[in-house]
Amino acid sequence: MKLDLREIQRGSARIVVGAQGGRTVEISGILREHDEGLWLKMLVTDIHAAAVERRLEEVTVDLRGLTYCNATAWKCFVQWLRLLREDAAARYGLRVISNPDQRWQLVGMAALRAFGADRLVIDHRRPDVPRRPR
Amino acid sequence: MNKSDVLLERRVPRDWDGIDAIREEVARSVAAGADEDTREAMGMVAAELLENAVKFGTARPEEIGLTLRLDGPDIELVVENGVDPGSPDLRSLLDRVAWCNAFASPEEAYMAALADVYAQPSARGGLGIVRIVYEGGCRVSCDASRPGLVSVTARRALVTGGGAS
Repeated sequence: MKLDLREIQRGSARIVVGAQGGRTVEISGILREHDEGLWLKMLVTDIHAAAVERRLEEVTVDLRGLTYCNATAWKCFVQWLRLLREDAAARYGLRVISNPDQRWQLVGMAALRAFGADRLVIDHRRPDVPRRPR
Repeated sequence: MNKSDVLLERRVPRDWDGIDAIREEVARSVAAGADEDTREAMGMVAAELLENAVKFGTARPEEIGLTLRLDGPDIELVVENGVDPGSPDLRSLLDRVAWCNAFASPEEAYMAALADVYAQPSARGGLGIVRIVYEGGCRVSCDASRPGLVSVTARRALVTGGGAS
């Protein structure tokens, strides 16, 4: 079971749901939300609902290509953790891959841990460098 | 304050889509020799303050004032915009700055703010200022003493070299 593949372009942010075999959400570019990030909240709610319905064990959120995220958008990640922990039907865990070269991600992730508890795993990994063809 | 201490001075249009260009310009303008963390932090600080100014400021004056300068061992960013003196948004801003400054540490303030977001998903605003204090490593103050104007100042030690702050 996996997430349906879809790609969303919003300003300079690009989100691919169902990437890398179906269980990854890739977020790249700049996420600058106005108005309490309503569309992002809805997207998070949709992904959560799909993960619950399809009984996924894990959803990976790959933030390595995200160069900036404002506080309003960041709230959506906190609210995702709330959904995850308070929905009794949710069995999946969230794995966030963050880029250690982005200091704001390192600092922000450290604080998020407290809210994700055992449902949140954070991997710090640099973006893959495309291999040069021989 | 010497004129040479001013690193960047801008009148910024109230344009949401233009904020990222200013964020990048502020990061580039941080004094030569500053470490990457300081540049990134001051860029973020500029963006969060400009967002507040665009969202909650009045249309007069038309532009938002932004000044980045050195002050002794510190670097300081000031954002000034028009505001309705009776606005609840101004009260919220003043309260939020005071709330942040009442904590023993920036980390405590940030964790308390995230706990509020977790507990009340529909609550509006407030995380940007706390982010400036915690993630940006800044002390924040707010001056609304001039009628129709509010200025927010964020200041941190200027760290030079390539190491982490």
